[in-house]
Amino acid sequence: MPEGPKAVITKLMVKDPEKRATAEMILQDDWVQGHLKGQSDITLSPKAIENMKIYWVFSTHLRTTVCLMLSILLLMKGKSEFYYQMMTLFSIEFMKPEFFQSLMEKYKQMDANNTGALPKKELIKSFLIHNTSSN
Amino acid sequence: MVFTAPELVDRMIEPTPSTDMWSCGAILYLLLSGKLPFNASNSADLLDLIKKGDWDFSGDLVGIGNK
Repeated sequence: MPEGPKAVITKLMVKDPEKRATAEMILQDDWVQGHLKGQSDITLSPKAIENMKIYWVFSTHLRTTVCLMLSILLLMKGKSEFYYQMMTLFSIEFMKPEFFQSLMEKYKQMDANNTGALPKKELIKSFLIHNTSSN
Repeated sequence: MVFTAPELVDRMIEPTPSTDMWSCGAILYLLLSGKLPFNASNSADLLDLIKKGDWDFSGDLVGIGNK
């Protein structure tokens, strides 16, 4: 790996936040400056582009899929190990305010008769609608 | 979670510009290597690793090549 990007990562991933590089400092970095001036010292290999594609597909599909999975998991409410692991993952990774907001909106959409509960019928219906619209 | 800065682990503090910079570094690492800077089989171990802030370029970064 070239030293340029290595140095940038090393400056960014400093444990002590006081010693960590700021955005301004990174802008002054030689490697970044080189790129800003259009002098690229690296070429992206097909492998790197593939990595980015996977990341992009993952992140765009993730939020819609997770919303439905979460609803289904809430219904399961089993005490299985899998259930707890998934819930922990969701609560750490996805329960940011704006995500919670969209989750609530989706939930209300699914709850067609406004009972505040989601019977199996409504869940299946919204799952089918969601699947056909996203494909 | 994998992009969380060490000082955010265990502490209920709001993300700051410097925690964002850490995340940028971790994302850059992922994009250029296809690997995560920290790897663990469960989230508790992962958070421990991040807290230590101990990472390296050991996984050979295959993503980019010299021109």
